[in-house]
Parts: sequence; C-alpha cells; structure tokens
Amino acid sequence: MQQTLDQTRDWVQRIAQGDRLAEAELVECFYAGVHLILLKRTGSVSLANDLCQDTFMVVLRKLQAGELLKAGSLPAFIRQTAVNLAIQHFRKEKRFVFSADEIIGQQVALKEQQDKKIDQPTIRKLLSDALDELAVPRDREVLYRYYLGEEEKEAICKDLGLSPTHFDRVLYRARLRIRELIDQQDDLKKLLLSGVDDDE
Amino acid sequence: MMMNRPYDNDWIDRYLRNTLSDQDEAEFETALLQSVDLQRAVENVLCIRQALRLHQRTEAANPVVVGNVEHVETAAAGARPDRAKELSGRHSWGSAAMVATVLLGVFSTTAWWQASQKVSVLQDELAVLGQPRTDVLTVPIDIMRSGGGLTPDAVIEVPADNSVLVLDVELGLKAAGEDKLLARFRDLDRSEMMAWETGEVENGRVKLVFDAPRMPQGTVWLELSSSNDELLDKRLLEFR
Repeated sequence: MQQTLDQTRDWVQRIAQGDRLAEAELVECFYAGVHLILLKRTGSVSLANDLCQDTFMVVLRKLQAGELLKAGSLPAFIRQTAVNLAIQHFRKEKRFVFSADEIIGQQVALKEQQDKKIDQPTIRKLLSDALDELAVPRDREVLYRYYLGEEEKEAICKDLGLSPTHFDRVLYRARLRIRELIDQQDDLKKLLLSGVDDDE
Repeated sequence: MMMNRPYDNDWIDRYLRNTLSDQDEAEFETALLQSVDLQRAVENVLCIRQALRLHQRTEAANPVVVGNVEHVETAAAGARPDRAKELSGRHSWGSAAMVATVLLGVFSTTAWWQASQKVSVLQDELAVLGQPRTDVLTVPIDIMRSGGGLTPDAVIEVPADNSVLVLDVELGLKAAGEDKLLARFRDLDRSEMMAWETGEVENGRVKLVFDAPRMPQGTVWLELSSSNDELLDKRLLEFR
C-alpha cells in the first residue's frame, strides 16, 4: 500500500470532485495506520476506533472542500489530524464527564472483559501446558526487562553477560514467533491490542 | 511522500517508549501510515508487550508454581528502569515470556479492521457530522413478553440523525438487583455488535442512551449481564 504521489494526487482531486469511491479508497488505505497511531496514543481500541472515524470525517471534509493544497502532504495531514483529535479528546475528558452517555463507558467494560477472558481456567491450563516449550529462562528475562521494564539494551547485556548479538537474536526470535502466530490466527491481534494500556 | 528513512526495530522500540523527539515521532508516524510492513512490525511489538503484561497480570492474581520457579509479580506494566533493576535479580522473569508468547496462539475474537464496513460507516457519519442533537426520544422497554421467541419486545422507529435515543429498560428481578450492568447488542447470529457498561440501575430500570446515527439496524438482542458477565436479562428489539 505504499502510495505514490500520483495516487495521492488522484485521490485528492477526485474527492474534491465528490467521488465517493475515492473517499473509500483513501480510508481503506490509511485506516490501519491511523488506528495504530491512535491506539498507541490512547491505549483503547474503542476510543481509537472513534477517533479514527472522526479523523477521516475531518480529513474527508477538508478534501471535499479542496482545502489541502499539496497532495504530497496528505499522509502528514492525516497524521496531524489524528494527533490533534487525540489531544483534543484528552483535553475535553479532563473538563467533562458525560455520565449520561453510557457508550463512553464501553471502552472500560470491554477491556475488563478481555482481562476476564485471560483469567479463565482453561486458558491458564493451556498456558501451563505450554510451559514445557519454554526456551532458555535468560532469554525470557531479556524480553521482560526490555519490553516491560524498558531497560536499555546495554544495561541488560551487561547484567546478564550477553553479547549484543545474542540480545538481538532473542528479540528477533520473539518478533518472528509473534508474527507467525498472528499470521496463523487472524483474530489474535485484536485480542492483544484491545488490551493495550501503556501508561507512558 | 514515500518513506525516505529506513525504520528498524530500534526506531520502533523508541517510538513505543515515547523517547523519539517530536519531529522524529511525526516523521515516524507519517511513515507508519504509508507502510504496511512498518505497521505490522509495530503491532508485533505491541502484541509482545501486551502478551507479557497479560501474563504478568494473571500471574500476579494467581501465582503459579512451575518447576522450581514461583511466578509472582514481575516488572509492573510500563515500569521504568529503576523498577526493572530492582526486580531483575528475581527468577520470576522465568517462564513468563514464553508463556506470554504462547498466549498469543490461544485466543480468538472477532475480525480486525474490516475496512469496507468502516468505510460505509464513515460515509454515513460524515453526512451527519457537526449537526446538533435537537431531539430526545425515550422508549420504555418493559419486561419481556415474548418469552425468548423471535417476536420483538419493542419495535423502535429510529429517530432522525440529529436525535438522541433513550431506551428505558425495565429489569427482571436478577438484573434489578445489580448496581450496574454490562450491556451488549448481538445480531440474530449472536455476533456481538456493541458492548458497554450501563449507568446506575434505579428503581428496577436502567437507561441506555444512544446517538441515533449509531443505532443498529434490524432485529437485535439486547443482553444485560452482571459485572461477572452472567447473563441476567435479554430483550429482542427491532430498529427501523
């Protein structure tokens, strides 16, 4: 989906002329990326969904009005719109609590539901069984310290007496394994990403 | 507008750790919009982190003895280096990472990013963007009479797009005893369409508030569950 400048220019022109198909093509092309950016910023799938839709509504309105002068800046424009909406959302959230609007509460409820699913005994049993497949404990420690502890690579290597090459290999294998699992199970990504709650 | 810089795993990690400069972050995210490969790489790392975290949460709630290693709290979600160092001497890092990785293979939920549907929704919503909500339609949904059949308990004419719809649901005895409920819309195939936590239950009723353009169409089940997700009540509603 690497877009060319010609393709982007084509979208911008067609949308300004009221071409609904061009709108659909643009949304389809950029939706996943915008969603990911918003997911990272909000930590909530449902909120990211909402903001994603808002983003495209704003973007499409601007394009319909012919307000984007440089077609080449479309990706940056989309990104900035998404970021601005995320910022606005959190500003508003500090000012207002829409207690009557229960839909707003769904992100929390869904997240709790996901957590409950993780606690199911069946799942735990599967996990325990899977322990037989464990790799070297030190490698797992690397993953924990790097991804959750957010320690620097150098510090971990020094602590554990690892070479940088070994460290890279551990991360590479983990990423490869995750990629394989996601490829095998289409829905897996949603489950995991629905619980993203980085408190950075 | 093509990516003019190769973004490797180090960039991805720095992005997710929020240690990029504003300019680098903007450039990275702009590139992210344009590269499926980069998106997948970022998602991968998010999945690893989340899998580790979920496992950690599970273990913290229910420590499990595996071999000689007791898994207890590891680094807290989003922990910082000092916290991680404090924990680094423990064996609790142990099996968790691999377990978390395997965790990824276990679950299954509904489909992800169905672009065509979203496009349709977006186009519809675009039409009503910016219009103020001027009307409120309140619909009482009293105790189910259809006894679980496929006769709708209520047929609701969805109001105009600039309206708010309030479903005032009378609850059965079980549900009425709850403080709050989990609500879901499911289609007739039992696929979940929407889920959320309701407001307070008052006098045996609960109010569900919706923006009219977001209402489902057709016949759907409204399910009401306890906070433990035990199904307490359900109504068949038809939206026209």
